[in-house]
Amino acid sequence: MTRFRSTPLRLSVVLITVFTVFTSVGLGIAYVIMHQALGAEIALRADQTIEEIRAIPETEERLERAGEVAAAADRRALLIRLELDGQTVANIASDLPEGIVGDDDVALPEPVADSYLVRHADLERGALTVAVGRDSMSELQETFIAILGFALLPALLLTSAIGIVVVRRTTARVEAIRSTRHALSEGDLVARVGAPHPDTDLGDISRDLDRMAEAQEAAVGALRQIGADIAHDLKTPIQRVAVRLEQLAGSDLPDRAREPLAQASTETAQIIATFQSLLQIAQLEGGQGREAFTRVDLGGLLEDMVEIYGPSAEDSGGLLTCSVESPLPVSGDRHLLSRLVANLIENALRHAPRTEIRISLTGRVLAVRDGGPGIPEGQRDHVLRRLARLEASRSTPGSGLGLALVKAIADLHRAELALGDARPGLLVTVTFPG
Amino acid sequence: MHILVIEDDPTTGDYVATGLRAEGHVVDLLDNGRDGLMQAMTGSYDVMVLDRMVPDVDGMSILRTLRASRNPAPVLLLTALGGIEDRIDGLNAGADDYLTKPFAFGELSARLAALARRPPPSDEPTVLRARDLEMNLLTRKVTRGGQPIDLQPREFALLEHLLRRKGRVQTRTMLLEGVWDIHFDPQTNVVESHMSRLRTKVDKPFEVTLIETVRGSGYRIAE
Repeated sequence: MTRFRSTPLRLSVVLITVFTVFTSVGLGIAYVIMHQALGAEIALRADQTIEEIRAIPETEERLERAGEVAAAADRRALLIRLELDGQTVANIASDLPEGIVGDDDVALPEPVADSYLVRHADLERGALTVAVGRDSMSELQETFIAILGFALLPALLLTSAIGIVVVRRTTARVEAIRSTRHALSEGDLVARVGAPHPDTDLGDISRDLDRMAEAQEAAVGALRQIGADIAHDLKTPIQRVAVRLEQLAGSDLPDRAREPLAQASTETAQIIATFQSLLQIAQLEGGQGREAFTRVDLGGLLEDMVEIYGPSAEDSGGLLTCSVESPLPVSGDRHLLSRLVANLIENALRHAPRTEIRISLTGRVLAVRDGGPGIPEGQRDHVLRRLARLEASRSTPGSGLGLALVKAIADLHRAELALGDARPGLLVTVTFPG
Repeated sequence: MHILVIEDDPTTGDYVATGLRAEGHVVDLLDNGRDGLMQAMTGSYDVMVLDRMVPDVDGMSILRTLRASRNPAPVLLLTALGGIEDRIDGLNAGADDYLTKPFAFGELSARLAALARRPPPSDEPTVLRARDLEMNLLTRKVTRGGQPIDLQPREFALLEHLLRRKGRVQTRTMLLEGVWDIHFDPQTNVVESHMSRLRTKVDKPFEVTLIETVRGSGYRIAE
């Protein structure tokens, strides 16, 4: 079915059909016109022969002339029978009924033509019958069949063959353009249709697509470079602050300086974490990482993450449980998916401490339920929209960009993040594509 | 150890060099890629610290040049970028370890020690020991003073990691990477929680403490 969506194929079929229809109609019209002309000529010949004999006044001369005509005539072309005053001159034995007569209608004594046009004329004291052979008519038919067979059929075959070649070629190019565009939209920045670009409209399109892809790759590259530069320019001073703080902590300090110093260290760590998350979200939103995707078993990964965070949850007075219905292989980045699950767990630990946090994998849906206050129904959409715009929970201090990073990682994996009600508590689901 | 440090920021460079010298190492500090590459190619170092972004010749180019000329010295790459891809890029270019800025000195020092003393891979023991603790890697049985200790699989892995690196400090991030394959910084005290469970089983019933906490750095099992 999909083959018939191919534009070149459809165009070829339409062209061949139009060509066939027009040639057939033309031939048909020519045939009809020639057929009519031939018919008229045959009728004329019959009428002329009759008129010629009728015009002779004398009986003897009439018979004599009819005899000459009969003798001279090729019986395929002309049959004549004149009965006059009891005498008969003929090159045919029996009478023929008027009209078009074929061998099927009348037992022609010696059928030499396929059919004849028969005309009667009543004369005084006699009757004249003239039959003109219609072989030329059937020859015309044969000629036209021959034209059809020797001209139209080969032309049809040739155009079909050329059509198939053209369709193959253009389909290959269209397919190359389509798959390249798809790869580009999947984040594969080095995908190209590739040279040579033929001097056709499709060639122009593929050249334009390749140019666009190059521009996009360059832009993304520049963006990465800018990101790297900013990271370097900002992190170096942060590093210096961290160095100074560490040096201070190692020196002799009055006790009252200890607490502000510890706070400064915590703040610095927070700045670093936020900065790191922002950097990573920016990279993820640029589609970076999809080329490194492998098969990851989400079920096993969940169990690992629960094993890692279980003791922390218990130490803070909560409980972390996991139920995996069946393994779920997904196409993804193991480290990023670990990060996604870790951030969901940490989010629950932060907002719902001392409750049971239940993690489950049912079908393609990863769900994290906590026993905390949850998010009122009316605000869930709002929260998700804010995540999409990187404004994640900036109003709640200390929570950083955890959920925004979850959203960015889910988007990279084409998974859908949703918020719901765990009755009580927050339900976060991530649905992976099938 | 003889250590080469290529770092363009003077504060960070001095801090690293001073710290490493205080630990008894010989340190050459260079602040640009051109001189750094020259020094790396001509000198003989036990381990190198390379900033990914230094003037003239960038860290990745230095690394590739070193590896292309079959220089085997372990290299720790310092970077401002912390993405997973950046880490993989660095390791693919031939780095042996990777540290994201800003870092604590203890982290750098512990990682350099680990790099310089990588055990040869063929030397695979079946029993790991520390004082009266014995870990049999084949039967996966752990005893201390002859008493069997029942460990969860991940507690076993954590203890094995420390025993294999006896005498060397393992930082939180080194443990996260080595034991759990986690390459980000959890905002929760996951390592501390696991460590406290392990200590409850391995150290608490006994008089001598095996797993030491190194303040501000990490954990260590004494040699």
